[in-house]
Order: sequence, then C-alpha cells, then structure tokens
Amino acid sequence: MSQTASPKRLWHITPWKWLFSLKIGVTLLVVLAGVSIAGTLISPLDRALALVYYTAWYKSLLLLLALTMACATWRNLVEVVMPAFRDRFQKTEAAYRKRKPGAALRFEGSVADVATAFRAHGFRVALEGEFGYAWKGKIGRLGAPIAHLGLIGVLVSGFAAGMVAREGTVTVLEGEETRTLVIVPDFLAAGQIRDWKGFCQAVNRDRKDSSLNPGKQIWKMLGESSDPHGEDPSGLSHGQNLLLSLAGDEKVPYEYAGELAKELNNGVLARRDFYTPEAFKSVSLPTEAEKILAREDRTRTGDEMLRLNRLALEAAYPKWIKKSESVDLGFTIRCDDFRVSYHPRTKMPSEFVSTLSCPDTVPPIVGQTVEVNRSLTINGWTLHQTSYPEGPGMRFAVQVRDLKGPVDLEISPGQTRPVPGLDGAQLALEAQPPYAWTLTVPGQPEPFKGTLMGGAMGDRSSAPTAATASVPGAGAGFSIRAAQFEPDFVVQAGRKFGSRSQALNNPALCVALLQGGQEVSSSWVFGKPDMKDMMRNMMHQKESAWEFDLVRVTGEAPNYQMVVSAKKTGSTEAAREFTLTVGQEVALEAASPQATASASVAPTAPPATTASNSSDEPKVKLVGKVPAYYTILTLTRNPLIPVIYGGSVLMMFGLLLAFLVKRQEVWFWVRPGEKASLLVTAHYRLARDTFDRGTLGALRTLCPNEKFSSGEEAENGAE
Amino acid sequence: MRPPFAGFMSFFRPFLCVLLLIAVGVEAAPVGAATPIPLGREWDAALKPLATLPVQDTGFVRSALTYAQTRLMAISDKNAFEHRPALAVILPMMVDSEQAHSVALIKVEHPELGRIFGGKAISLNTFHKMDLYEKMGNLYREEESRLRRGEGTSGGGHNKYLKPINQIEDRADTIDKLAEDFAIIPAKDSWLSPAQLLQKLREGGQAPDAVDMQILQAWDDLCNAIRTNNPEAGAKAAESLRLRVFDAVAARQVALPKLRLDAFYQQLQPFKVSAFFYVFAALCYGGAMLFRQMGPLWRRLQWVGFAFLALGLASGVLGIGCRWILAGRAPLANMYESFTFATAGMVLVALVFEAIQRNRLAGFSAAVLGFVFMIVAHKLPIFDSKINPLMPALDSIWLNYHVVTIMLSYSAFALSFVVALAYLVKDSFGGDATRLAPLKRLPSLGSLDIFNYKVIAVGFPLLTIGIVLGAVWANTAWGRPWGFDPKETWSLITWLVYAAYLHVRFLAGWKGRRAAIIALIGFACVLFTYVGVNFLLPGLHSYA
Repeated sequence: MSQTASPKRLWHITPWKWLFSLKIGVTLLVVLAGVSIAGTLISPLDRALALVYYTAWYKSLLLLLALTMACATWRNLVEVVMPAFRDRFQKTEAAYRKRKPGAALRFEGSVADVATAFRAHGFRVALEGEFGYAWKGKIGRLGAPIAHLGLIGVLVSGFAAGMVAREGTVTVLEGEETRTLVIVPDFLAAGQIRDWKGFCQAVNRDRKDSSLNPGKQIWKMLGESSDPHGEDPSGLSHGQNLLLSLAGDEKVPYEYAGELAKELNNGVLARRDFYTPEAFKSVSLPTEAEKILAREDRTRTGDEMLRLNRLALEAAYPKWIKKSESVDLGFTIRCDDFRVSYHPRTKMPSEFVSTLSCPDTVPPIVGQTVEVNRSLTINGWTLHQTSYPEGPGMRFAVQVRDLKGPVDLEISPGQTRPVPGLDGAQLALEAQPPYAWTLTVPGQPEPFKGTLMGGAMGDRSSAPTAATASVPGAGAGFSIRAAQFEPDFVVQAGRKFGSRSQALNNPALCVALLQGGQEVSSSWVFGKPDMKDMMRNMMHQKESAWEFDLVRVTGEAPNYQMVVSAKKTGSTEAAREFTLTVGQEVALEAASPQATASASVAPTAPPATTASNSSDEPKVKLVGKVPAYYTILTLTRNPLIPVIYGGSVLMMFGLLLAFLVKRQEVWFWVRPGEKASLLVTAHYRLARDTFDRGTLGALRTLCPNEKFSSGEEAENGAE
Repeated sequence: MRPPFAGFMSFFRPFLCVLLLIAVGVEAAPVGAATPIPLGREWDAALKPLATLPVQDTGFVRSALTYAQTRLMAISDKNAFEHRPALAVILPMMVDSEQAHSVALIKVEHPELGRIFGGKAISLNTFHKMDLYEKMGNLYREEESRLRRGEGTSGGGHNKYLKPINQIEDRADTIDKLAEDFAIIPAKDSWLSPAQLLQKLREGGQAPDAVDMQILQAWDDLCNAIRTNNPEAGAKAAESLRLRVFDAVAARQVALPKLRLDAFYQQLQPFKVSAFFYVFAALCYGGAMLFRQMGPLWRRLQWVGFAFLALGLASGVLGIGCRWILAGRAPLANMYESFTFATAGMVLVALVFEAIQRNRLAGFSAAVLGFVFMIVAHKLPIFDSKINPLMPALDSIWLNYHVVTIMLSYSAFALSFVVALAYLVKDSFGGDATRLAPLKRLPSLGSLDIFNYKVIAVGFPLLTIGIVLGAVWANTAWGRPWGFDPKETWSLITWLVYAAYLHVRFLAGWKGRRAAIIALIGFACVLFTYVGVNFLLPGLHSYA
C-alpha cells in the first residue's frame, strides 16, 4: 500500500524471477500430484519407493517446491504483509477508484464521524488527517506466511531426516537376547536387487561360461530347487525359468522378481554348499566372509552360512545387489516375554506385547513393555512392536507362589527373567532337564531353589510324561495321524464328510498334524487329480507348517493303507512318503535336543512338582507349555522428528489464522469542500468484489440515502 | 487311597446326573414333532426376555437380538423371514438342526449358481445335494480350464466362481454353527455355548459347575418348548434362562455392556432411519426451490426440509453414540463407521452453513448426498455394519483425532462437490440468465462460487490437520511419520489439488468455472483416497 516507488528486489531481476513466480509454484504442485499418482500405480511399495519417492529427482521436486514457497513467502511478507502493518493509509485517489470493492459517496460529515461509525460496528480505527483505516482480524494476514514457513520446515527437515535417520529391525526369540540391528537383512527381498534385468543377464552370461563361476553355481542350485509348477517340458526348474524371463527382452510382471528372490533365498542362499572356493576364486571376498571361512565348516551355524553366502553373492555381483547391513546396537535387548491375546471367540489379536530388558544400559532396563502404538525409547532408539512369528521350541508356563500371591509367567529353558509385580525378583531356569530353578528375591539372603520337575527335591513319580512317547521322534517334533479315511468321499447332510461306498472312487484322507503330541491342524487330501485341484482352491485350508498329499492307496477295503507325502512348507527338500492306516501316527522329523527336552512335559498334564525345603518358601509350579515366539521390533532413530512436528504445528496454526480469522480491512478518505465525499475501499479474507455486511452497516449509518448492494447479503440470502 | 477330586465329585454328583439326563434328553428329542421355523406370533411374549439375553460373539457381549439379526443377515441378507423377526427364525434353527437344514434361507446371489440350485434362496439340504454340489464344482473347474487356455471371462485371472461359491459356503457354515456360536454361558474371558459346554463335559475337559448346570437346564427347557411348539412353557423357560445367565454374570463378576441399548440400536437401525429423513428433507428442499414462486407456503417448505435434515442428523448422531457406547471406542474403525460418521459430519456442516448463511443449497446438497451415502453404506457388500473389535494397530487415541478431522474435511469437500456441480450445470445452461426454471432457483453463480470457496476453506485446514495427526500416529505406531503408503500418498495428492485451488484462486484470480472444475477434481481425489485406494492399491490402510 506504499505510495513510494518500491526498490528493485530480487524478484524483479530476470534470472531469479521464476523462483518467485506463482506459475512455477502451482506447476510444481500439479507435477508433484502427477508423479505421486504414477508412484501409487507401481507395486509393490518398495519398488515405488525406489523408482519414484526416494529418487533424487522426486526429492529435488520437493526441495524446489520448498524453495519457491520460501521465495513467495519472502515476497509476500515484503510486498503485502509488512506494508499492511506499516503503511496503514491509502492516500491516492487511484487506490480508491481502481480497487474492488470501492465506492465514492456523497458525505458531509467529518473523519471522526466515520471513525465512530466503524467503531460502532466493531472495527478498530486509526486516523491521520483526512485518511482513516478500519480493521478487524488483521492478524489473519500472517496466516499464509506462517503456514508456508511451517511447510518449508516440514519439507526441509523431512529431506534432512532422510539422510540422518536410521531404521532397522531386531528379531529376538523369547528368552534370548541380541545386540544386532539389521538394516538390510541377509535374505533377499525384491527391492534389494537394483536392476533385476541386469542381474539376471549377468548370471545368465556367467552360467554359459565354461569355467566354474558364481553364475554357474546359482544356475545349478536353482535347477536343483523344487519346482512348484510341475514339470517343465524344457527341463528347466521354476527358478531357472524365472531367471531367463527376467533376463529376456520381453516385459514381465514385477512379481517374477519377488518369486525369484524367494527361489534364491531357499534354493541358493540357505544352502551350505553354495559357496565353494572354486566357484568364487575370481571374487574378492570381504574380511567378514574371510573370518567365517577361517573357521571349520562343521562349526559354522546356519546363520553364518547364510551370511557367508550373501557376502559372496554381493561380492560377485556388487553392481546389482544392495549390501546387507547389520550394526551393533550398543546395548543388549533381551526378550523376557512375549504375549499375544485375542478378542474372545475370534482369531483376531487384541494386543501383542513384548516384555524387554536391557541389562547393559545405564541404568539397566528391566521388564519394560512394547506393544503396537506404545513404543519404548532406549538410548535414543525408539522401539516399535512390528510382528511375532512363531519360533522354534516351547516355553514353560509356570506359576510363582507364596510371595505376594500367585504370579503367572512364561520362561524358556536357560532363561533368567524378572518376575512381574515383584520388584527386583528374578527367576532363572536351567537349560536342560531336570530344569532346576533359582528364584532371587531382594531382601532375602539366599535365593530359593528347586526343580521344575524331577530333581532331588521334586516328586519324580508325578512328573508328567510325553503324551506321544510311543511315537519315535515325536514330542515337540511334528508327527501326523491318519484321522479319517473315506474311499468314496462325499459331503453329507449336516456338512459331515462320509463315503458313498467302500470302492476307491474318490479317496480322501484327513491328515492331522501334531506337534508335541497336540493336534495343530488337520486337512483333507485327495487322491483324484481333479479333486486335488478343486479342493486346493475351494477348501479353506489353514496355513500350515507342512504340506501333504495323498500319493496312493493300497490294500483291500476296509484295511486300506494310505501313502502320504509330506514336506515342510516352502522347503526345497523333496517330499517324504509315509504309509499310514487309519488312526496310525508317524513322526515327520526327529526332535531337536531342546524339543526332546520339552517333549517330556505334556501340555495337559496335571501340575508338576514344585520343589522347596519348606512350605513357607516360594514355589514354582509348572502349569503347561506354550509355543515360543520371535518378537520383531522396528527400531528408529530420527533426531529431526521434533523439527518436523514443530513445522507441522506452525503450518496448522498458520492455516487456522488464514482461514478462520475473519479479516476485514477498510480504508477511507473524507474529502471536505464543495464536493464533499467519502472514498472507501476494502480488502477481505475472501477477496470478494463487494463490501461485506460489517462495512455496509457502517456506511449505511453514514450515508443513509445511498443504495448499496452487497454480494454477501445476496449470497447469504440466496434468494 | 482316596482318588483325587473325590469330594468335589461327590458334591457335584447330583448335577452330573442332571447333566446326563440333559444329554440323553437332547439326544432323545421327540421325533416327528416339527419345530416351527419361524416361530409364530404366539411366541412374541416368550421371545421378549430373550432379546436382551447376553451372548458373546466375535469379541463382544451382545444381546441375543443382535446375535440373531447378524446371523440372519449373514445367511439370507435380510432382517426378517416370513415377516417374523430374526430371533423367531434363528432360535428354532439352533434347536432343531434337521429342520434348519430344510428351510430355504441361504441367499444365492450369482445367477448361474442360482440356476444350478434352483432358486435365489436355498436350503442347506439343497446345497448339500451331491449332484448339485458337483455341478457347482464343474462350473468352477470348467472356468479354471478356460482360464488356463486364456479363454475365461473372469477378470484379473481369478476364477469368477470362487467368490460366490465361498460366499454360499460361508452362509452354510453360519447355519451349521448357529448353536455352537450361541455363547450364553458367562466366563471371565471366553464364554461357552450350551453345545460347547455339553461337549466339554462329555469329554471330561471341564468340571461341572452348578451355575452352568442351571443355565443348561433352562436352555434345555426352552429347546423342548420350541420343539413341541409350546409358547407358554417357552416363556417360562426363556425368563428362567435369562435369570440364570444374569445370576452367572453376577456370580462371575463379568462386565456386561448395555444390552437394552444394544437391542434398541438393532431394532431402531438409526442410520437407516436417518436415510428416510434425508430423502424427505431432499424432497422438501427440492419443492421449496422449484415452487417457491407459488406462494409463501412453498417457501416455508425449506424449513420443513431443514427440520427433516436436523432429524436425520439427530438419528445419525444417535447411531454413532450407540455404537460408541456399545463398542467402547469411537466408531471409526471401518468403512461403514467412517462413512456414517462422514455423512453426519457433512449434514452438520451443511446445517451450520444454512443456519448462519441461510443458504438452501447447502441443506439440499447434504440431504441428497446423505441419502445416497446411507444407501451405499447399507447396500454395498464392502461395508460391514457389524460392530467388530479393534485390531491392535487401531487401538489408539490417535484414531479418534485423525479419523474425525479427516472425515470432517471429507464432509466439507462433499458439499463443495455438489456446489461446484451446481455451478457448472447452471453455467452451462445460460448462467444467471438461464431460462430453465430449476436452475433459476439456484443461487447466483457468484454466490455459488463464494460458497464453494468457503466450504473448501473449512475442509482444507481440516484435511491438513488430519494428515499431520495421521503422521504423528504413524510415527508412534510404525516409527516413521510418512512412508508413501498408497493411502498416505493419495491424501497428499488430494491436499496438493486443493492447495492448487486456493493458490490459483487467491493469487491468479481463478474463480467461477475453472475453480469449480478444480473442486470437482479435488473431490474425485477424495473419493479415490477414501474408497478406491482400499480396493485397488493395497497397503497399510486397507482397513480404513
């Protein structure tokens, strides 16, 4: 509103003009919307992130938007906002004649009369000679600059957070601990290969070479892996076909990459014989791989072999494969307990909670819980509960009695964990039978001791025995039972399954899968190929750790013998065949030492013994057995979160100021003399072309004979 | 040596005898006495006390009335059968399984499956007829073969019969599990149905309990009364069953929700009632706009429309309130709940605009949209009107803040859409000088333009706040405020479109037609963000 010639600013200078241009700003908004739409059409999300949202050009667009907003805000502050607060009066006739809304009214009163009229309508008024300025809610002018500044803060801090923030996952089995934060896991995901086509072409090229090399090794192992899609006439396995498809010139769905990643994980990386010195002789391995190789082959764990294979693969194809990365957290996370509870009479979890301890933090963290929506912060890392796959082995559900009342908890063999509700009390359980326990209670000179079952103080005679002891290798290992066999399967009234005849027209077997003697699941398998296909799609088959098939049925009615093939879901090993009669149970796998140990505790067994020297002392009672879970936690560290939040708050405040504060500004000039008149012009939040109701009220008081038309009145009346 | 639990067993021996009698009684139900399905009107008095009988179902304790209605809906997609309420249908089906198999209740939506089974409503017996079942299987297999040959008509490579076959299977399953799911025996955590308790007692997996036995006895009396079609005995047994269950609730200190409110909500169906009010409101507003020249009476019709709209809102708010109390959380956990909430929000915004600015168009738009939204929410299968428990990811106070602000912003944008549409239609037919009578009654183009801006000026800050609150929630739950999940990205796209609207309007003076077109594009983005993303672009927000 200044009448003096404004100085030349940066936005008047040609090379910089565009940065202050509205056209550029709006174009950027539209372009960003367009590319964001394109990004949402790319599936899966990690591919969209790699191709669009996490690319330098997308980030540049966002930064450019922030820059143009900063420039526009600067210009707006200098040209509009500051003058509105500083030069409050309009002193040229042109300002009144050209602007909308504007009016020239016949008026013989004084400037003080005008001020009084406006004050009566709730305006604040400033006067200078013949000029006046009336306003309401002028603070609203600051809304847009504040909102823009907030958004700039969010964009810039979000961009910076992309560089400084860290994120990874921690996977820990109940009762165990870890210090490793996995940033990029060893197992391949589709997003970990930068260019699938390039990678597959490189492997394909290598495998045709006469000498042994990593590509040849990959090809060979893909060929040995299972083929879920049946026999291929070309003799190639599913994995090999996928590799050739991805290496070819034809466009193939991105899902192929995900499938090949799975094949590489199961058929290549998970194998102990993928890395051989001959195949990788031309590859320079990193020190970490050398260290693993320095140890004897038989002493290497499965995880170490996976790590070695991954490092070897990365070293062989560094251009295409992202480096897997794990870092030391700097502190230990121990999962004391994991609990999942369900809404009654549903399979929907109501909550899943990890109880964690960090013994080496200062001060040590004991028994803190993490659950979805309730994170925990330790040493600058925020821990979020993500997932909970079932892990190997079982845990004991025990009850600690005679302290402050019974306390229920779960404990793994070999674990030491705090007792909930008893400050400082720790329960330790030995890793091997007879499972001696030690309960340390603060204030007690000596820890309490006993055995969970058997042992010197316990009652061996009442120690429970395995429910499936008759089955070799059962217990916590898997076994199957032929629960029901129907030679001529039919669905009868009441949705019961039966047989139309004793002839083998449509043989079907109900296979019950047992773990630790307890039925885990059951499913029907069919002999006829068309029934196999149909039922695979139509029956609601539960996800199971094992896959079964009815291979053939031998013998005479009613003493049929069923040959069932079984293999672990997702396993590359060939399916094993078992011959069963109805009601018979066979073990699928030998139990692990730990599993064998836990197999000696029957889940429905009556309470086992407690051991203590006197009845006043605390006792630990075995209640049952529960599966052990892995807890998967996402750990994040983003020091810029407060800045992002600050920018967001500023933006929201600015928007509320801009849109909710009803801003009305009116300038007037009372011209005395022969042609006494009142020149009025105004500016409103809605940038309307007509006077609003408040201004009209004041003007009608001053000039009762004038006729005013108000757009606001018309639109509100809407008649 | 005295066997373990000997004292316990001797105490419960009489009950065990009763149990055995019950078990035998259940097995030896009178043969030939046909159970009436549905129960006749003479049963109304007996059914009354059962309406508020507590039943635990999918995570909540609900009234038996709700149980019956949700089950009947799941089986037949209807609230009643032969003009009898759900309880009169479901109860005898639980009691007499054989009879239940012969009632043609299962809705068959797919026309080809309907042809196979010989109707749109079939019985369980018909469904289980082996030849028909095989025909259904053949239909599936033939399509599968066609798909393999690349000749199938199914979209997306999926067998088009899979979903309808699964749907009928689910409906049949629901009938099969009616008695098993009727969990009326209270417990601290998971309640049991009489059928389950009997099973457990037979297997020896559960020790008999006096309270349970009384409930079983009362239930058995009721079953017998239904089997013999004896309403007087049924009324007594129903009252006895209700008392026994409430005794058990008190003895086991189980918290119960407001069952009367639950039954009231189920019977009233407030959201459906609101749809009626909205359609009346739309008719009144329409009449007032078209015929206002014919006299003041017609003009006053606008206020009748306003009153109907307010009643519709009150009914919607009542529904939201009931669901809030019954679920113990804000009713914002699925599409149905957010849709009904957004509709109420939109009507509220419209009423406020109308009350303050006397703008008829706001009321008319809200009435029309409100009616359409309610029909959509109750008719489309993607909307589940059942009150379901919350998944852990949604169990957060941020759900209320985030979804409420987002839904209110969507409400404002829905109004803006109608206004922009009205602007464009009027503008296309001559603008303010139009000769078309209905368009003449609309506010002037300038007024429509300003009104549209005002509504967007309310919606845009709300959308911004909603997105920011969502980011804070995402950071709390997943450890990152923004992850470019499709829903997040589409909300950003919507925000960008409305930001562009405001900027070009303020700074480049784009008003009128161009601004209206941008508002339409904006609302298309809103719709895609709200509904489209859930079905087309799966991500972390698929439940929303």
